[in-house]
Amino acid sequence: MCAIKRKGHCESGGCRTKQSLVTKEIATLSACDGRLAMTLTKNNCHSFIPFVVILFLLAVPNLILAEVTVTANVDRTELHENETVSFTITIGGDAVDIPDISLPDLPGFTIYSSGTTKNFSYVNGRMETSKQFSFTLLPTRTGILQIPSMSLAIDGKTYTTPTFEITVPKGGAAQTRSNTPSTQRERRSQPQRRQVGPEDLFITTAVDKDTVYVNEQVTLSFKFHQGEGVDILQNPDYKPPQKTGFWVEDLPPRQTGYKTIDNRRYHVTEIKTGLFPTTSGEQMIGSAELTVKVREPRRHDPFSFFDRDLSGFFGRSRTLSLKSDPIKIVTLPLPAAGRPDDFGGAVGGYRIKAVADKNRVEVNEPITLKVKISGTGNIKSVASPEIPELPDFRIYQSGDSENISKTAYRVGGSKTFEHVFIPKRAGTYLLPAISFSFFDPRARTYQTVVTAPIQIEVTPAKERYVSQMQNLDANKIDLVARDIRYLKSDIGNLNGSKNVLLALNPFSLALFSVPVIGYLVVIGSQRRRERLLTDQSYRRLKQARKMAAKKLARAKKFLLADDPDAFYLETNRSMLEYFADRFNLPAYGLTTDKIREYAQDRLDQSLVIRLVDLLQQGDFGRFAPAGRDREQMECLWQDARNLIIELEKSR
Amino acid sequence: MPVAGRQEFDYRVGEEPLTRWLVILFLLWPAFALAGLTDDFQEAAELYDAGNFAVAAAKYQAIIDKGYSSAELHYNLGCARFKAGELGRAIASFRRAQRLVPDDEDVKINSQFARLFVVDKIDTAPARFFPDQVETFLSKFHPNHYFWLALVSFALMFLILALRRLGITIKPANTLATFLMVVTILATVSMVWVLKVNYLVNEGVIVVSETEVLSGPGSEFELQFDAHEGLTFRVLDQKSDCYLGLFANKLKGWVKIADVERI
Repeated sequence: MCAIKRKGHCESGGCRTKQSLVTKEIATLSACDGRLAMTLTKNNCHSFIPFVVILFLLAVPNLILAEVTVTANVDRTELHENETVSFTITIGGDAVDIPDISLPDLPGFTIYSSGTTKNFSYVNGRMETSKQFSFTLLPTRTGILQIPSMSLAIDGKTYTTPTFEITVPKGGAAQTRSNTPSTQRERRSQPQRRQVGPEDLFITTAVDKDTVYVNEQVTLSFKFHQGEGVDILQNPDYKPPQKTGFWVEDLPPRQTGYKTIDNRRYHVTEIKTGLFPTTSGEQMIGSAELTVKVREPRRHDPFSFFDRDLSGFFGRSRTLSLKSDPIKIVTLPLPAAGRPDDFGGAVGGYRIKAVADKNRVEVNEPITLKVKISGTGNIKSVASPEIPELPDFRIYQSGDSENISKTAYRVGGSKTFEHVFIPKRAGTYLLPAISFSFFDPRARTYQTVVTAPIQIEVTPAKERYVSQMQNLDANKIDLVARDIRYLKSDIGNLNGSKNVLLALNPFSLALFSVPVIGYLVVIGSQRRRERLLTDQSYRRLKQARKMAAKKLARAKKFLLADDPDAFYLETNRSMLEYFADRFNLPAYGLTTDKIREYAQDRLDQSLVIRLVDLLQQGDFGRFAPAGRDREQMECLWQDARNLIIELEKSR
Repeated sequence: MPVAGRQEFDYRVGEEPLTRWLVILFLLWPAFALAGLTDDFQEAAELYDAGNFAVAAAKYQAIIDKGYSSAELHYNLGCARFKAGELGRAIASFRRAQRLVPDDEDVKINSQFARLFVVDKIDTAPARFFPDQVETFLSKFHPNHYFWLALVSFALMFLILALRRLGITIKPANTLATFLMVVTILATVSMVWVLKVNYLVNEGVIVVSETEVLSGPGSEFELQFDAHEGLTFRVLDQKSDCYLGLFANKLKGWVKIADVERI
């Protein structure tokens, strides 16, 4: 048990305690028997960093004190007839890497895996995992059978399970369940506890005929009989019989109904399968197997509660394994006598029909001929009928399709083969009859069915079909007898964009930032515009240079127009108003003294001196006409321009 | 000095065209190289037609080895390999082509056809109806398609937001922006899914007729099962000369690298 104490004290002498002073507030970690308790004072809850440190410290003792427990048990050590034993291995504790467990071959048992269960729990800040591997063992012989000790390597350590001995008295081993109910009744009379017996649940397999020709259908019927009053707890696990040497076709739907056998009513589920033997000789259809879990009546044993599992909470449950007898099929070879040359192995009853999509074409204009073979039999194995060589046509196979039907549990349907005929020359031609041979097992003879010949009129080609033909050649439809589609005629886009995964390319991903940046620019410009409208000082500041430039441009005009008064006035106004706009001051009444005073802490003093000097030069020019010199005026204009640029830079 | 002037003139005449030709050659070099590749490509097709499949496959492979790649090249290489009896390598080539053009019918059909010849029919877990349909649809497109769809819808969404900000309202702007946002998210999720399932996986194909899948990376380990040519698996790890493979039925095992072609 874990002791949770403040200040890191552990009352129990057997406890190992680990303390950590994170801040002045105290975080106490107590670890005891792998359990961990944590106490935090309220004051340090708001601090994130200590919390992270504590989380880390929480993990450390977990790793240090990791413990793994391995247990193995069986639900019973003595079995009765048809009973199985549940063998469970549970790995619990702190195992980091629990491997999947599969049992080795156990002599005397057939092993069925019943699945794996994984549980997680988080107790006192510590995560525990347990994984349970369950196996159902069915004894195959009587006597004392052993489940030997096994070694399991978990997280670098080896754990060993104990050995179990299972007693199987005579009659206890699994037996074939294809018995008839009458024989089962004899067994029922044996003195034993009333439990679900062979007369309550059994399976049978049967075939509609046991002697067939190669590729002739045999219908295998599997039936599961469930006596009335027998409760099945889970879906039965059906293992179909081995059907080596047969072509298999499932025959849905699954049929269910009721049947009375020896005055006992059974619910019967029937599954049918169509089988087509592929070779002659004796073939075996293996045993079908069904594992079913049934509910048994409650025994009057007051201590039996713990024997029950959850699924059979209201009564005992038992797993029964049912097995059918194998069935022998004699497959006769197809007779050699009378076998047509074009026989391709089809067995059953078939018809053939050929249809051309057009009868009048131009040279190089393709005609599609559809040859449809339909009837009953293994339609999937029907091969394409031979198309006769026609020197006046190029012949290509363009594909086939099949339509399978399973009416009344007989496999059949139709298979259509498409061929493209391209006439080389003009004229009237006859597409000859196409034959198809098959073996009729009922009549025990070979039969040949043929299509009617089809007349084709071919007229000289116009240009469009020449080009179509060229396209056709370029595409190169599969030749007859070829299986995969033909090559691509174009080399394609070498090292094209699809060779680069744009999602993994940083430059491509950067494209996603463009719309975001654009949107931010729009927001920024809009805010600027709004501020220009509402904030006068901001507007004046932003427009100061623009306005000064306008005035300087006007001053330049006056200079060129040889109007010194206007020039000096405009040049001075450009500088004064720039200063006024820049610092949101009224331009009216702004003197050099005020400028000097105001700009003292706001501007570089050298700039202030230059500004005042230029303003004074301007005033001097305005009021002392003797000093007006064009070169001096140009120099003043240039200095004023430069000063405004430098004042802008100093913002 | 007419002689000196003439010499200078001759010198210029001799230099300028040479530079110009070098520039032209440099600019046209890809076209010349492509012409050579196209010739090799056609030659390989002729070899294929003549039934010389192994040589045709080698020819296609030589183009790929030069650093060129296209769906058509991998597809044709797959066809030639299949005809040459190299089932496993053919499946690998078809898979590469399928990654480039997932919606190409020829590639899909040949890939499926080749897989019919694989001996190991390992059962996969039955796919549930809805995800299966969705997966089939999503797999038809290349991740770059999803990338462009996501980018365009993302850009349009911001354009609508920006226009609205500027007072130009497209009705119904909110619905349209929401729709584009959903398209962006769906396209991104689809792109990530397709990348994860089809492109960012390490796959390998068995290219020998039969090989042993062992419980560990070395011949001293136990045999798990025999794998046959064409069986595709996911490569999880590599140790010494073996790959750790995850097969379709969730079986894991180690296969010799020499018996595998990585896709």
